[in-house]
Amino acid sequence: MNISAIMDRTTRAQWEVYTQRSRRIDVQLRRNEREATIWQENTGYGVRVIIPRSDGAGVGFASCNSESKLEDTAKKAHDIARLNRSPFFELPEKKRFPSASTVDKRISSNSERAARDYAEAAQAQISAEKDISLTYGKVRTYVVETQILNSRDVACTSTGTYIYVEMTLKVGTGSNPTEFWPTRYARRVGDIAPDKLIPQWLNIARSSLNRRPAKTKETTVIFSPSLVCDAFVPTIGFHASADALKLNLSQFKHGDQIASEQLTVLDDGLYPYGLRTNPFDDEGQAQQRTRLIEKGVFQKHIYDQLHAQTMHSKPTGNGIRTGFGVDVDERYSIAPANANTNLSIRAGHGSLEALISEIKEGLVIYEAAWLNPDQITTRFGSEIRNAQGITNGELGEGIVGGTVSGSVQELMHSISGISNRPEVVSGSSFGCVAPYIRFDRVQVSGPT
Amino acid sequence: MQIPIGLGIVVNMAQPSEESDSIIGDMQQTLKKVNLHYADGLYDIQTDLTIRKNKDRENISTRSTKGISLRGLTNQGWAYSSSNKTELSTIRKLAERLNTLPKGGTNKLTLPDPTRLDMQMPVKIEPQQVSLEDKLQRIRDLFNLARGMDSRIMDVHISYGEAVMERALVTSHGTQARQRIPRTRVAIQVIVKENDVTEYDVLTAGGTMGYEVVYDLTESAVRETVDAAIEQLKSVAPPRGLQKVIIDPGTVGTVCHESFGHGLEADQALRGRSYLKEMLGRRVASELVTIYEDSTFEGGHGTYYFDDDGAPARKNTLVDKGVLISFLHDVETSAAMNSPLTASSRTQNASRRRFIRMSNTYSKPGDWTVDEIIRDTKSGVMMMRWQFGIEDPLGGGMQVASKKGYLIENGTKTKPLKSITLTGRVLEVLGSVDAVSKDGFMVDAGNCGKGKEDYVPVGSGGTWWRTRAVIA
Repeated sequence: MNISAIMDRTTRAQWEVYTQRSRRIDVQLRRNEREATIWQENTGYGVRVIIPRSDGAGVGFASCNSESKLEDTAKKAHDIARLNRSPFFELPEKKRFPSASTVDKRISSNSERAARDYAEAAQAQISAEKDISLTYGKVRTYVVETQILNSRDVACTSTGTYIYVEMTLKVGTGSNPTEFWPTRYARRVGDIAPDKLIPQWLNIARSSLNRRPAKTKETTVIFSPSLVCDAFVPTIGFHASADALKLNLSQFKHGDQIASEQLTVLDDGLYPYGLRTNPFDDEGQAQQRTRLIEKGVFQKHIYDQLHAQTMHSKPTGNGIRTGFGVDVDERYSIAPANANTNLSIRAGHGSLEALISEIKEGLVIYEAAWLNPDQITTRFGSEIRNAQGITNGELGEGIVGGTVSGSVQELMHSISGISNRPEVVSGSSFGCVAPYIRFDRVQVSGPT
Repeated sequence: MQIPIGLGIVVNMAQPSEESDSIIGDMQQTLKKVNLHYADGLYDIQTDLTIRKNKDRENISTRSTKGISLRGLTNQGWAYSSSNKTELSTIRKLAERLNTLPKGGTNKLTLPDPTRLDMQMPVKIEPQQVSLEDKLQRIRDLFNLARGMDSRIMDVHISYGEAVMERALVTSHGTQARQRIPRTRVAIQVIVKENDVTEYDVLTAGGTMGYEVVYDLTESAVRETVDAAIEQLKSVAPPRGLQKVIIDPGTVGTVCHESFGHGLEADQALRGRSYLKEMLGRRVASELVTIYEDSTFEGGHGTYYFDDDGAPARKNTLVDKGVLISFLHDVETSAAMNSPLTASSRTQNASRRRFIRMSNTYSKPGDWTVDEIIRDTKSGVMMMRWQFGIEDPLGGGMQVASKKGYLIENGTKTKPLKSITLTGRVLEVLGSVDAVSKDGFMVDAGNCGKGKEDYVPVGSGGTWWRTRAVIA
């Protein structure tokens, strides 16, 4: 199919076609058996058309997953662009892109075997445990080829691999069991290899064997990397965006001390095997590293094409296709928006154990039900699902139940320690390289 | 997990498909060659239109996705083979994959009676009959109306979505069913700012409805949202810890959804992941609590004619006067637990797996008025405008978050409160319900994930409740 020819005969305006070809295999487990296997192949197209007007531009977006519908889809995008009002901007021009590490050959060469091997290894490890059992699990691998073509001669392609793992680990065999229910995306199997990840998860699950709910108080709390991801990506990602700045919603001003001096954050679109790592962003602009927060001081907002051109700045490779519930192989169905790539939080100096050893009284939270902070106000409140109390620098009993709450803006000022090993993580949010972070004076609530 | 429809949420939707007749025929022919005890084919096309407006720009997008999925029961569980390509040669390839799998799936299934259905859900005003120009102008009018209501309004974000899902199911046991379900929704978020404090409130409406959703938006409803956003500028943090909580109908729906909705999905019971498995027929909530799960609820966001196993939609009683009556089932769990089908098998689209899911979950009204409940409450909080919730199938916990509320002091609503999170043990929270209102019944529209994936449209609601729970 000659996409350029189809587009050139459909519109004289600037156009862009974002294509994803993907294959996905999902192995789902029920205890020691396989519950389901899902094979899926898809090719999807997202078409954007920009028509300049005297008062700005019209921008139309339409998507489909049928090659035969591409021309109709292009016409729809064109028709929309004739109607709506947007600031004028131009699509990126052809340029060289940096290199980026995004492919695990183990997945790209045989994604089905990669998923099955992982699932079987995880099942075997967990089934050896006496006090913990696997009730349900998913192991999913993806190979996604992306192509961007536009009317300004951008023609770029990339390939990415992903693995997603979700497990529900039942703890205890009596009448009052509980569970640890983690999820994790990675680019490479090795980053979350069963012999590395599963023992960590089993340890966290085991910590809930003897447990009590949280007590109401302000206390010192350590967030796990995935919880840091869930706290920071929706909030720092949003307030660091030029979109939030333009809409007068950003709480971040250049030069302001917005966090503890311990916090340095980059938007790193080139982090090796980061979940949003790619040579180019989702509209064909080179991805890069952008310093957002340096020792707690806000440095710079991140820009996509629209905001760079309308706010007289340079694009930072932050035109990203992301939407709630949109998986990595469904990004073609979403128009690019101004969002973070990988929020990379600079490592601190101590280990997790060192962070714990300095706490007189507090807790480490491994998993909360769903932090989901409000993007605008940054407030959050979430049930504590898996945590451990800390007394005089020692980990103690499990904490299950009760609530951790506050605002991420306040959390950023109350950082008192950052661990030295950031990890590529995901939680409910996507795109973060995070260590454990310790916060002082965090509100925890419980029945007593 | 449940989130409301609204800003940032794209609703899937679709055009009626002329090609579906031939695809249904191709699936029927191909399934005959699948050498498994049970197999079916699901064809799905979803199209949507989304219009979003703020002070900076208008974003309009359309989406059309289709897919086909063949499914069979093997001795390694369910196997799904799916593709976006729907021509006969691809359907045959999908079937060939199923035929390479080890046969002999021994799990018993409760298959619904074979049926032939071709249903289209009627709406008052078909969105496709209204031009895009008119829709955009209406959005602009709503934007200007809201924006002009107060000088503290810094922006108004409006999101309109229309979606049509056309789905056909063909089974190896004779079912051939097709349904076309339209869904329409609108959300108006009013953002206000004063003295460096930014707040907002949101007005949402939607369901298996047509464009009337937009026409039914009144100026007074927009005014109430503006006033509520401004009131939030003076809001304070809620008191923390165990409190008496008066919960609004939308939030009650979310509590029902997360507690005895997700908690009763029987696939979790088969996995050993349900704390409720041994509690059928036992008291699990206050006798004031009755909860229904109803895929026939007119206008509900989760309403349909048949589920994705081919079982006809129905109203199920989950909890009756506090007693646990029924789990939610698909063809597999129904057989395993020797219970009737509940029409609860659903998938997000043809590329995903079918799971046991809710449709519209709501509670039965009681005898109080909401004013009586407030007057009867010496101290507590009122929790309003639900935002999201999440389940805890094994541990029996739950989390429900709302945007705002009020402090209740001596039987009176006093200070406005900022966002509130309710957590606690389901059996304790629902066992503590001591007042249920007869007024205010409504069923809200939302989207539900199985965990944090696989979203399907749902409704949830009821009337006002009072209970005790941990608040933060």
